[in-house]
Amino acid sequence: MTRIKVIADILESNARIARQNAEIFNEVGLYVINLMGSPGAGKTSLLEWTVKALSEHLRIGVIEGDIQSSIDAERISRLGIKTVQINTGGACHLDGNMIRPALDDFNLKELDLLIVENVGNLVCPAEFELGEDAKVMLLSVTEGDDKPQKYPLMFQQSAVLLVNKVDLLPYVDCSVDVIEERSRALNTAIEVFPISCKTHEGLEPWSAWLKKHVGEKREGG
Amino acid sequence: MTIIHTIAIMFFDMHELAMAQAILDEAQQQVEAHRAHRVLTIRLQVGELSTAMPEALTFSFEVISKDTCAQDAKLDITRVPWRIRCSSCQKEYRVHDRLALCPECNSAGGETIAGKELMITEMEVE
Repeated sequence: MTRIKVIADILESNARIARQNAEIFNEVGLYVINLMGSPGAGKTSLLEWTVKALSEHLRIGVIEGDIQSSIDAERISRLGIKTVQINTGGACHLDGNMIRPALDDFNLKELDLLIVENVGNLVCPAEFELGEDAKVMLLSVTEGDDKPQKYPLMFQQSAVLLVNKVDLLPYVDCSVDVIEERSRALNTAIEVFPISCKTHEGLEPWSAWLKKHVGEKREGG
Repeated sequence: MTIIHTIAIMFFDMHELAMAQAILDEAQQQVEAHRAHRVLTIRLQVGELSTAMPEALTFSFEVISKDTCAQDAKLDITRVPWRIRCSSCQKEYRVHDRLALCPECNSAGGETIAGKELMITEMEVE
């Protein structure tokens, strides 16, 4: 019997592919976000609003990740945005390799912003890098303010937390302040935007954040 | 009928499957590099913050390692506690119940210094 010291990161093979993806994005100055959240949190509604609000200023592409169906991709492409659907066929997250074929479908040089909507799930999407510039997480108030404690990795990895459906706050036992406080305990740098995709409340600061970061990446080259 | 359906969903839905595949790839490479025949034990560190469930990881590995040099290999998993360096007073402490509150100054949060691990540290082969 031989004992071998190994020290191998189990996620390294994915991380390597993600770094290659990041190089591709950096070469053309394309800003990429990985949008994560539970099923039904409002990810596709957020995308619809974001695309409508920014498509005059930015050239946007969308990759939709779902276990099955192309319902979401159809919703987005109706807005005149190039959208590629990835069906994971059971896998609960997207990884660096899965988005590769979708990247070939875009002319990345002609895009300013690529939004990858991950599979609806608060668990493993946080663990698999895609090569994105920022992870953006969407949580709805109907899910409760205990989620930062239950899914800490997701909150730790995200640059932005959008708290959706604030129009429903009078009807649910959930506090945006508590969500914010618990999220900051996990990630002091996280930016929190309370929003409603229904009433469009709070969405301006979010689109301003996006424009700023897309612009910085463009200028930085 | 229902039971079979549940197992199928469990199996195909698990992100641990992707992780188990990466462990198997590494094990096979090491066996080749050391001119060994089979893997006896694989020691892993899995942080408390990792989304990998040890039971699901073990189950996935059993399934995919069948008929490979790592069949019957034991996954020896050590859970690594979540530790934080307080953002206010810099004290390093272990987080209990997933609530990162500094025992020294009561501030919330800080830099995670351990607990995200998902790695192989050692293997026994023959």
